[in-house]
Amino acid sequence: MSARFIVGDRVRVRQAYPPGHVRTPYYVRGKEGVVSRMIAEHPNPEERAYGRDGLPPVPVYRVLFRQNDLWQDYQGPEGDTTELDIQEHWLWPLEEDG
Amino acid sequence: MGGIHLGISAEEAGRGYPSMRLETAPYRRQTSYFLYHDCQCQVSFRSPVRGGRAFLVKSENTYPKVSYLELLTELSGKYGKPVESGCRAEDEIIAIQCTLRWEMKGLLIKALIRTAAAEGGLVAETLLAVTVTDIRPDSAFIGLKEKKIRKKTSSAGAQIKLTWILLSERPIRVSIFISLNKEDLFLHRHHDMGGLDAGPVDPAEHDYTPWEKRVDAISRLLVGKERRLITLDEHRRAMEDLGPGAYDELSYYERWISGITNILIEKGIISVEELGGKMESVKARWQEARK
Repeated sequence: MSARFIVGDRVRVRQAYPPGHVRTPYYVRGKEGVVSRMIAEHPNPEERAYGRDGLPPVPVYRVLFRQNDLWQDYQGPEGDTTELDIQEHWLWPLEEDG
Repeated sequence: MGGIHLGISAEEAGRGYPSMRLETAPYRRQTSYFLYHDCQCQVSFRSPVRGGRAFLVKSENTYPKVSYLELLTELSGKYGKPVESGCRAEDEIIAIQCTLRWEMKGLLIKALIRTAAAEGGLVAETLLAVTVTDIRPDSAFIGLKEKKIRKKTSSAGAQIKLTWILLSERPIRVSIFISLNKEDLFLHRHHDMGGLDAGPVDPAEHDYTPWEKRVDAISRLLVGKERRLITLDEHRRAMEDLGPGAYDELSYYERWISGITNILIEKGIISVEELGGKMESVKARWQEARK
């Protein structure tokens, strides 16, 4: 599987609430971020959690989020960020504005 | 006036809790309301219904004065500022009623809080009713069973009684039970609690007991490449499957061994009977050794 995103791409995390084992935390779903690193391709843990092989492997990206985007009423400095490793099938490309 | 001194004015309440509005009953001249509550306060949101979602909010603050509005502040801490709120109070049999409304992504939460004090007593009873309505536009996206997909909105409520022991000199515990509707379960599973209030973290190091080390060893042996009987992903999933209640009550390694056990049974590596028999014999051996 070839990677869909490259470092610097703006992405939005899918706002989905599937039942079962998922690796994308609730608080980040639907939020916008920027791909900061390509991690690796891994067998999908969301499949492996149920005894299946999780193949083909899924690319995993490190995505950078602004804390202000994640938390309502965030009190810390404006530039604070959070980085999370997110699987490709949880990400949508975000069109550049203008 | 009854056993509870109601000593906070509407102005004072307005300054302390700008998001709240305290109204006095129009037919009373009384403007001073306050529930004296000098204690350590712990507010738990825990679903008493099977399959319900549990919340836990703890406040370790010792308030010199804990008014009824402190409870509302706890709720606000949990859900953010309500978009609408209103409180009214009546004396004689001291009764306070608050309505609050939160609109969150996909959910509408309404709380109705009623309190009445026993005449001449130090005990006030609080009734809390919470209604949660699913307002997600993309309800169909979450993969519920088909009959539920058609149902765009749903609501459920719960009424819970709790007792506040007032004027206690010792720290006391206040628990509030709120049952949320099942749809909320599908927003995120119980273990996915990043961002929720968790209280202070105890950073103290502690030694592992022998059984805890053994659980760790069992896990490594099962996952290791010589055996590959379970994967770490299955292990994580099994711990998540413990659900609210067990997930909170069990210690770290208790969660581990419970998850491992369930996976081994699920995969047919051990049987329930085999495990039960072994547990009995270990227990008997232990009791024999204690004699």
